[in-house]
Amino acid sequence: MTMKTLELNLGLVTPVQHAPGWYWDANTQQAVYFDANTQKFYTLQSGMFVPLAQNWHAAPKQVTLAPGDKLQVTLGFQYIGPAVTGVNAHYSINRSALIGGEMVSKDQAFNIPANLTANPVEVTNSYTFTIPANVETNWIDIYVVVSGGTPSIPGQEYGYSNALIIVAQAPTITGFAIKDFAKV
Amino acid sequence: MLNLVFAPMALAQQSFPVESRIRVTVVFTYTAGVSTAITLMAGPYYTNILGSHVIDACVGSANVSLPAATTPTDKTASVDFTLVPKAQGGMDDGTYGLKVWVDGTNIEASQDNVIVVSGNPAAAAPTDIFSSMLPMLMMFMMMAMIMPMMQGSQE
Repeated sequence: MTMKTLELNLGLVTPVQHAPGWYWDANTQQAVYFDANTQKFYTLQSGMFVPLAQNWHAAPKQVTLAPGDKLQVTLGFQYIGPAVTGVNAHYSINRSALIGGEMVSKDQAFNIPANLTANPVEVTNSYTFTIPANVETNWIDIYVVVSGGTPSIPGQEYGYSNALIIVAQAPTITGFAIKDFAKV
Repeated sequence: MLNLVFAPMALAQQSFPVESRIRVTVVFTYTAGVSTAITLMAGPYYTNILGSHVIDACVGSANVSLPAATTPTDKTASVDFTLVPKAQGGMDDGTYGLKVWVDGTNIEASQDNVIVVSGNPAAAAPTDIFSSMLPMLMMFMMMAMIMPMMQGSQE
């Protein structure tokens, strides 16, 4: 079986804490609420607080995988701030277009070294999935979240849609045609 | 001006004597996460107002191995079936279609009117005529029994 890789860039992460309360999101032109307990932003829709949509992106490449293959997912971000211990990296492979479609996942703790300069340094972390035998052809999205630690960093999430091409156990047949027939 | 272009049939019509064994060759492209096998099925079919009907007595099958392939891979495979005579529950003389499919899936290929079958034993014909007339004969026999009883009751 082969090892395939995917890299996800979470952008700039700093341990600066948001105060709980309302903020204005200039990108989406809407008011958002930051909850200190969950460390997430929410929008208010019909009287309900709805978490902001996950940060999905079109995958820069597609990786073909079969049961037993290994997929190494590497996240990376630019960091300025003190050392952080016990940051949680949550990795998952998701079903396409399904809410709560996490099919396999892994939480992995890692540490961020201090960077007290004005220049961000890149921090990376990786996890390697082994594609299970029961994988289905709609397991095509990759999703990561980093959050928590001491001091805590705000949750950063990032996903690639259509990142995987799954070759499932059941064969996929195309172009089926009769070529010839004859008496034997 | 009417400009018609007739495309040739993918398969040419062929004639076979009944009881012939026919080998069908199919081609397809596949991917499979693990090495596996499929069952190819093949047989003749006829068509009427109710649709097409495979003649079960003639259907043949073959297991085909598919080695694991993560990239689309071309495959050629074959499956045999027999033109079973009508007297053995098979087919009449006539023209039939050919159908091949992968068991347990909706993957299939077929073409109408490519198999012409002849040579069914002539002895089978009277049997067929008798069986088709049997209901009518039974009705006449019942009438023959009932009519004297009805005439007797009128007297």
